[in-house]
Amino acid sequence: MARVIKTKVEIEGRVHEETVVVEGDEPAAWEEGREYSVVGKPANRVDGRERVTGAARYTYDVNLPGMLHAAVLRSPHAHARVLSIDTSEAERLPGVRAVVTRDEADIDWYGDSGKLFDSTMRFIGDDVAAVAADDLDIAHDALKLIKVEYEVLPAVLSIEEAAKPGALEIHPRGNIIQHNGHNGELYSRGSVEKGFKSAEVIVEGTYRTSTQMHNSLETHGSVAMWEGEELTIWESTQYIFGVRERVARALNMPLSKVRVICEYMGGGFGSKGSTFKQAVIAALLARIARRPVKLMLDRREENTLVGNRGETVQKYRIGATRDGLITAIDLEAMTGVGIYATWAASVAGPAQDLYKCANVRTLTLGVRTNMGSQAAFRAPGYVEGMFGLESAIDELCEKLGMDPVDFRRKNHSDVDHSSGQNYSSKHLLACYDRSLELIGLGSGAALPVRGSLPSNGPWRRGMGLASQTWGGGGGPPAHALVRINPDGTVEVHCGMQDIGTGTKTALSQIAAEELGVPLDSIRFRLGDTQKAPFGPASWGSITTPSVGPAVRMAAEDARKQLLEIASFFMETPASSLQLVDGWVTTEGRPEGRKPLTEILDEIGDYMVTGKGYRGPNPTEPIRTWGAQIAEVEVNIETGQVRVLKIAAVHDVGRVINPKGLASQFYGGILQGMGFGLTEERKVDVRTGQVLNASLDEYKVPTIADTPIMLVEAIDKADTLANHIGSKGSGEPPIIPTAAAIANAVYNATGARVKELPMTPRRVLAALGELRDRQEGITSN
Amino acid sequence: MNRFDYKRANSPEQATTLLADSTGSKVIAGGTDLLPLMKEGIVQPAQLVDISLWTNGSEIRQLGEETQIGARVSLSELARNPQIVENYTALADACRLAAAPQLRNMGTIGGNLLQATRCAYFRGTYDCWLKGGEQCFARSGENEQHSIFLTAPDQSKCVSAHPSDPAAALLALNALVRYQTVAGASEVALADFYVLPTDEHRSMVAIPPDAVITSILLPVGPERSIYRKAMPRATWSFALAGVALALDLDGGNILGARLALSGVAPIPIRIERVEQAMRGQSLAHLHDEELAHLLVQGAQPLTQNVYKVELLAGLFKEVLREVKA
Repeated sequence: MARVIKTKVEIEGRVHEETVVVEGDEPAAWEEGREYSVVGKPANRVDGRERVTGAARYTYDVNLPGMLHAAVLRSPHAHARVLSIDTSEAERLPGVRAVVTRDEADIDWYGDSGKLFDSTMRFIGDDVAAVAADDLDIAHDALKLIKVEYEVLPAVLSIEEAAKPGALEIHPRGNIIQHNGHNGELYSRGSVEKGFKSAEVIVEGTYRTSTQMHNSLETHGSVAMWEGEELTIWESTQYIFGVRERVARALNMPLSKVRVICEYMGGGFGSKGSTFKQAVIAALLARIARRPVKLMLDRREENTLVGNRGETVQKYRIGATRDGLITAIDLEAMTGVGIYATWAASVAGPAQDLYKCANVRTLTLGVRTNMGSQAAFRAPGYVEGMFGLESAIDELCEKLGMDPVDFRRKNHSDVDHSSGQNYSSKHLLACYDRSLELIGLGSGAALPVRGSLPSNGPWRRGMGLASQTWGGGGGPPAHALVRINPDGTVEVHCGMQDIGTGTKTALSQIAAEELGVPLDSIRFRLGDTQKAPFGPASWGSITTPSVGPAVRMAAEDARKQLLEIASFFMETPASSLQLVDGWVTTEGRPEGRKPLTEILDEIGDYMVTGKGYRGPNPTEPIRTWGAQIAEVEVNIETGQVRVLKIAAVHDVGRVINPKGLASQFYGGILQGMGFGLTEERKVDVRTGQVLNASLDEYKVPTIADTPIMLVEAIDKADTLANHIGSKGSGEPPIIPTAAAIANAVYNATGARVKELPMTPRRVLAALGELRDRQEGITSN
Repeated sequence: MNRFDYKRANSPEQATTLLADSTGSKVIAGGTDLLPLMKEGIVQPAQLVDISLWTNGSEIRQLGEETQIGARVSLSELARNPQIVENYTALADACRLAAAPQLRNMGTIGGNLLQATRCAYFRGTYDCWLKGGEQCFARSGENEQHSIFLTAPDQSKCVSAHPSDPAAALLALNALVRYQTVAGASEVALADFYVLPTDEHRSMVAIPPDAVITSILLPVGPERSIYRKAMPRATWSFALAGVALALDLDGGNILGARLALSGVAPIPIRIERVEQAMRGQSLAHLHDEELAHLLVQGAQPLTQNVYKVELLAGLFKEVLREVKA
C-alpha cells in the first residue's frame, strides 16, 4: 500500500525535506562485515565491450533516415538587444529545411528572466536563431546569411564588478542571487564574535579559484523525431525524466507524448543535469521540417554555453586556542554563476561541516555576470571551498606549530552541527590513518616538517593533506522492476541513466546478489522514459544509494515469488529454499536442489516480476568522508609543479564494485589535479569572449601528468543509511585533491599559493612574495 | 569551412606552378595546422595544393658532411631517426617534445616551420593587427603566454610568441631552408627565414607566399646539442619557453655556442650575448647564474607574463645542468 511520508534528501551539498510516496516493506540491511558472493567483488563493466568496440549508441551516433542537421546562430555580444532578424536569404539557400527564431517560437525558458530566443542577449552565445539543413555545412552557411541588427549594451564581466553597490544591473532579478529577500545566503551558528574573543591564534586569508570547464568528451546534444503528435528525443543527459518534463513544458505537451532516450553517455560531470535548449530547438525544427533533426553542440559551444564551475573569492578568518581547538570560522565567499543560473554552489559547505566548531558564520554570494552560466560540476562548491578552508587550516597549524593531521584529529566531530545528531556513519579518522600508511609515513605518523624532504636541485619536495566531506546519501523516489525470463535470464528496468560511472554494473551486481543468480545473467535496462519506472538524475553521488536499494527490493520480491513457485514443484516450504548461483537449494539437504531454469520451464510463459522502491532516509544525517595526501615536487626556479603521488582514502559505505570505485577515485583525482594546477577559463575582459574553449588550449591533465595513485575505501557498510549500506562515490574523490596539492606545495617551498590553478605564474609570484618577506625580515 | 579547389602536386615544380596559377592558394601536407585554421575561418584558401604524395620529400639524406631533411619528413620520424638523435640531438628533442603523438605523426617539418601563431586573438574572431586589423588585442588583453622579447611597438606590433619547437632547434643548428618558386630553387638561412612582422608585411615568414619548402639543410652537427621546454602540463602544449643550445667543444672547452629560444618572442631568436659569454669557457665551470641573468637582460614582459622572465632563466639553468652532466 502506498504511504505518503516526509524524508530528508540531500543533493549537491544541500539538504531539504521532500514528500515522497513509499510502498511495501524494505528488506533488512545487508550485514556489515559479512562476505557476499557478488557484491563487494571486483566486476568488469557489464557494458565495457559495447563501449570499447563502438557498438554502444551514444546520442552523437544516432542517425535516422532523412535526418537533418541543425546549428544555432549565437550572439557575438556579451550584452545586446536584438532589433531585427532577417532570415529570408538563409531560407532560400538550397538544402535549408527549417529556420526558427523568436517569431516562430515565443517560449519562456528561464522563468520570467529569459526566453528560448530572447530579445535581449545576455552573454556571448545566447541563442538568436536556428537552422536545420541537409548537412551541417549548409546549416553553417545558412547562419552566415541571417542578418541581425543588434543594439550593443554595456556588459558586466567580472564578479567583483558585478557585486559592487551601484553596479549596472544585467539581470531582471539583480546581480546577486537572493535568499529570503537578502543578497546571498547567510548561515550562522553560535557567535563568531565570541569565538574570536576566546581565540588565542587567528589566521586570515583570501583564496581564489578560477572557472573550470567540464569538457565532457561527448558534447551536449539532441536528436528529435516526431511520429504524429508524439515526440522522441535522444539526449546526452544525466536526467532523462528531467528532459521529458522540461521539453513537455516548453512545447505545451502532455508528458505521455514525450519520450526521452539516453542509453549511453560520454560524460556529464554535472553539466548534463539541467536541460539546455538544444532538445527543444531540435524538436521545433523537426516539427517545421517534418523530418528528424540532430543538434549536437561543438566544442566551443560545449565549453561556453552549458555550464562551468564558477570562479570564487573566499575570505576566511579562523580562530583557535593555543592547544589547537577551533573557536570560530568566518567565511565570506563570492562565486560566479554566469548569467542564468539560479543557485550558487555551496562554497561554504566545508566551513560549515568539516570541523567541530560551535561558532560559524558564512555568507555566500552567487554573482551574475554577462558570461555563460555555471552548472553543477562534480561536488560544486565543495571542491572550491575545501581548497580555501584546508589551506587556511594548514596556515593555522603552522602558526600553532602543530602537525596538520594531529590538528584535524583534535577538531574531529561525530556530531552534525546543524542537526545536533550523530552521523549515520563516519570513518574520517580511519581515512587519515590509512592515507598516512599508503603514502608511506605510517598510521598515526606526523606529516613531514616543511622543507624536510630531500630536494633535487631546484626541485623541492613536499607533502600535504586535505580532508573531504560531502553528502551522497541519496533518497527516494527511485523505482526498479525485475523480470525473470523463462530461460532464467533477468532484466532489471529502471528509468535512470549511467553517466559513465559504472552504476549499471554496480546495480547489476546488487540484483545478482539478491536473486542468487550469476552476474552475467542480468541485463540492466535503463535510459528510456517510456520503458521503465522513474529513476533519479545521475547527480550528487546519489545513484547507487538511491537506486541500489530499489533494485535490491525488486530482486528480493522476485526471489520470494520464485521460491514460492519452487516450493510447489519441490514440495518443500519456501522458507527452507534458497537461490544460489542459479540453483534452487534446500537448507540442510544438498541433494534437494534444482536448476532455476527447470522450475521456470514448469510455469511456461508466466513472467515473475518484482517491484522495488527506495524507502525513506533515516533521521541521522548521511555524509561521505575522506582524506588525500599529495606528494609533489616544485621547481622553485620555473614555478612548475609535478604531482608524484596521491594517496586517497574515502569512506563511502559498503563498496559494491571495487574496480568501478577505483576508477571513480582515479578520475576524481585527475579532475581535481586539473582544477588545482592547469585548468582555467581565459576570458577577454573587454568583450567577454572565452579565449581557450578548445581541447588543445584548455589544459585538462593528460596521462603524462598522471601521478601514482594509491586509492582505497574504508568499506564499512552504513547500515543506518540504507539497506545496501552504500553511500555515493562519484564526487568525494575530487573534493580534497587541489587542497592537498596546495598544502604540499607549501610544505615543499614555504610559499602559500592562494589562487588556483597553481600555474608557474602564480607559483613564482608566491615564491617572490616569500623571498621579499624573508629579505624584509633580514634587513630589519 | 569555405569551399575550395583541391589539386595534387607530384613534384615541387608542379606545386609552384599550381600555386602561381591561383591566388589564395595554400599548400597542404600534414594539415595539422592548416585544417584547424580553415575550420575557424582564419584562413580561407581558394585552392589547396596537396604535396603529400611527393616521392622525394620524406627522406633524411646524408650529403657529404651535411644532412638534408625532406620538407615532408614527419616530426615523429625526426624524433626517432638515429642519425638525427645522434648528430642533431636538439632537433630530435624538439620534435619529441612537440604536440602529441597523432600530431607528430601527421605534422611535417616544413609545415611546422610555417605554422601560425597560437595567440587566441589571432585564432579567434578578433580583427587583430597580424590579420590586417588595427591593433594587437593581446598587448592589453590576455597575454600570459605571449612574448617577453621584441615586444616594443617599434619592434613588433604583434606580441604573440612563436610556437615552433623545431624552429629554435634548427636555428641553433644553423639550418638552411630550401624552397622552390616558379623562378626556381632558392635557399635561405633559418636566421633570415623568420622576420618580425611590419605594417607592410604582416607575417613572420620571409619567403614569398607562392614558395614551397622542399628541404632543410643541416651543416655538420655540433658535439653537443639539446632542446628543453617548459609547458603548462606534461605534454601536448606549446612552450611557455623553449631553449635550444648547440655547443662546439674541444674536450671540456667551449669553442662556440649557439643559443636559440622559442615561445618568448614573435619569432625564434638567437641570444648572441650569451653565446659570446660562453665561448672559450670551460663547460664544467660555467657560471650558470650569471649566464641566466645575462640571458634575460633586456626582457620586456607584458602585463601578465613577468613570470616568463624567471621561468626562462630557470629553464636555461636546467639546460646548462644537463649539458654538464
